[in-house]
Amino acid sequence: MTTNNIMLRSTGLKKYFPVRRGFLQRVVGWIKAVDGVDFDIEQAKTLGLVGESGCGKSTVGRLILKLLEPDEGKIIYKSKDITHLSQNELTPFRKEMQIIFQDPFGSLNPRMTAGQSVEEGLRAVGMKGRRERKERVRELLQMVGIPASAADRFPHEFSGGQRQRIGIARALSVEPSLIVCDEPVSALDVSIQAQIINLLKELQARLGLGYLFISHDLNVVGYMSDMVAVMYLGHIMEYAPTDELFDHPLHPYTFALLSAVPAANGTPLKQGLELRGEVPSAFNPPPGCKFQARCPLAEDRCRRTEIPFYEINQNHLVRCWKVV
Amino acid sequence: MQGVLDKSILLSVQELTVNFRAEAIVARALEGVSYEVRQGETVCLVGESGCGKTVSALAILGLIPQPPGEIPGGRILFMGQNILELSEEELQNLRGNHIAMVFQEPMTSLNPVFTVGEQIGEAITAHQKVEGDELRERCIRLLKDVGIPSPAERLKDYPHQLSGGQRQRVMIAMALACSPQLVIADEPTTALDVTIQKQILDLFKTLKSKKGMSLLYITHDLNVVANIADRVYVMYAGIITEQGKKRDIFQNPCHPYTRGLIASLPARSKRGEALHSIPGTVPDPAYKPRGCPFHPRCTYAVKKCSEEFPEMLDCGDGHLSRCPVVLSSERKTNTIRTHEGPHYSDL
Ligand SMILES: Nc1ncnc2c1ncn2[C@@H]1O[C@H](COP(=O)(O)OP(=O)(O)O)[C@@H](O)[C@H]1O
Ligand SMILES: Nc1ncnc2c1ncn2[C@@H]1O[C@H](COP(=O)(O)OP(=O)(O)O)[C@@H](O)[C@H]1O
Ligand code: SF4
Ligand SMILES: [Mg+2]
Ligand SMILES: [Mg+2]
Repeated sequence: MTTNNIMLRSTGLKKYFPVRRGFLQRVVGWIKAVDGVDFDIEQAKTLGLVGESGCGKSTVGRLILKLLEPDEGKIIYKSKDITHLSQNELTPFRKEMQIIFQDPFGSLNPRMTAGQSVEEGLRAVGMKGRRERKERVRELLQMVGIPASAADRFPHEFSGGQRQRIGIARALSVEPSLIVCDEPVSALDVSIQAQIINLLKELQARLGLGYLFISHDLNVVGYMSDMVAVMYLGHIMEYAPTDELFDHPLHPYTFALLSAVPAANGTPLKQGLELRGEVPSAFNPPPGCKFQARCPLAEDRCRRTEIPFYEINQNHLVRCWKVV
Repeated sequence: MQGVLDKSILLSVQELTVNFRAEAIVARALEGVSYEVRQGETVCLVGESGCGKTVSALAILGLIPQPPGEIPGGRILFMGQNILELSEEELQNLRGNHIAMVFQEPMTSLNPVFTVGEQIGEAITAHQKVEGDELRERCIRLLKDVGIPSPAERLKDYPHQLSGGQRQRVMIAMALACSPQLVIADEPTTALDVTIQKQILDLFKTLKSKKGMSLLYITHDLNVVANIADRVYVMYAGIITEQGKKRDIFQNPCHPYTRGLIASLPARSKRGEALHSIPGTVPDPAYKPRGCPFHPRCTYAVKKCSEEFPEMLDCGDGHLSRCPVVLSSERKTNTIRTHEGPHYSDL
């Protein structure tokens, strides 16, 4: 992997959630939501994280923001290991990394006006002067395409797309350098989705933002990302530059995903690999490859041993021994 | 209206108008909507949320709540009969026996306290006299038809024990219980992952060719339309803006809204260039703009667009569009723009 311009690096990141049962709430097993995940996010670039629901994408996002404590692994931000920092030590990093969600309605305080929501972030970074804050709120709202005159309106008075813009303005208020975008356009209609995607791209170019762009939609991820990580049941199965991944997918799961995505010409992005069945539970998975239950290529070895991440070339990694 | 006597036309919605009234405010959910579904055909209604897709489906089943709804005009002919004139009893016979519906969220349409077997059984016995082992066999066969593994065991399951994809399959099995001529599917895959969506779309295609039924498929997703439709109706703000064969709609869209929607689709092939985006938002149906309801968002709009409601115009061979501007500027010279690029060329 390239080393220059790396903003954030995750190595061997793990998060297991306990499953408790019965009267005594004993731990009967673990959901291996994130089970050893490596990736880099470069300055001013987008890493797309794609996969079916429940495969651990949001958990990865929350881990790198330190909203969740990882069980294992490291998070290196701008060459500094932030994995085990205390809340206090984290304060400066909180401003550097922000998140925007699928449902901005759920994440905006319904009793705060758009202006107040954005201003809150400014207070958090210690901008003292009231006039100065108000001026900056105007600027931020304008930057995301909300007229400053709408600053006094409440979330319910805005459309879904406008609320997403306010969520973005709020994230930008603390001048972050990295934003986790967790399905930011999944709930929006196409015409509005295109507006928000363009806005995110524009802001990235203007402010040099790094994005972790989480989505289940390969068409969106393919448009947004410089690099793509394909996730399945807590593992990254394939990791490659966007064009390489779309043109030369190696992992059977990547291939199957591309075969399932309809494109606007009616033919799928790739053809040939049909995925039977559904994602099994991440609860106490069997040893070996996470994809074994649905994989048309699976053999004995896939069910016995942990499959390593093979480096095909400098930037293309795949977790399948059959295709290397 | 052409085609009323055409035997191949199963469903013909004609100039349907639906309002929702709240005190003095009238939301014009549908304004003169017309569309047809022929025998064995898959017709897609596509448009952004709030444009009236679900309302047009509910009207076919006589399920518009009145009040607040009212249907001041139009006809819905199903096999020649006007559904709007049927009694509740006749409507019940129609639903299930002739027309069945599959909704977006199966969890809300399946009853959580009854097993899968009980619910499918009920869908069958509501309209036919079958019982005992024969009923059980029918249920198993239906589950098998919709691709549920170990169907006999699944009969005992409750809806929450199934995954989203399997619940949707159960809903489809229930819809098929009485071999309807028309299945209406309202965003049936919107809540599902792409891989499961693909399986469900394939299932619809197989069932349709095996059982010879017609499918009215409602979605906001143009990629799904491209996958499943024979013919397409594009809706905006309670009206049909363009209609035609799938090929016409994707390769030769004649309405600015259709063009805008297609151009807005993100795709890897467009990386590096800004996506086309339609400015503004869909209007509230209680406060629609005068003239063409799309004109405030339209890059082609001329003065006339804000004054006159546009008629449906013929682009040839069943392809119709409600935009005189595109047609007069591009048709005169016979140069209706074809969308370039390999992306749309091999339909
Ligand atoms: N706080 C939690 N407690 C227990 N299990 C969780 C928690 N958060 C997520 N999970 C589980 O972890 C897995 C991954 O979830 P998530 O990261 O939300 O996936 P995705 O975003 O890809 O849909 C799922 O099985 C989910 O149920
Ligand atoms: N029961 C109802 N009462 C009031 N308004 C309704 C009702 N059902 C639908 N509408 C309105 O009718 C319009 C069309 O809705 P709908 O058909 O659900 O759109 P779509 O399915 O295309 O998203 C919307 O503006 C919606 O608010
Ligand atoms: S390691 Fe085995 S099961 Fe896993 S993807 Fe490769 S072939 Fe399939
Ligand atoms: Mg998620
Ligand atoms: Mg709807």
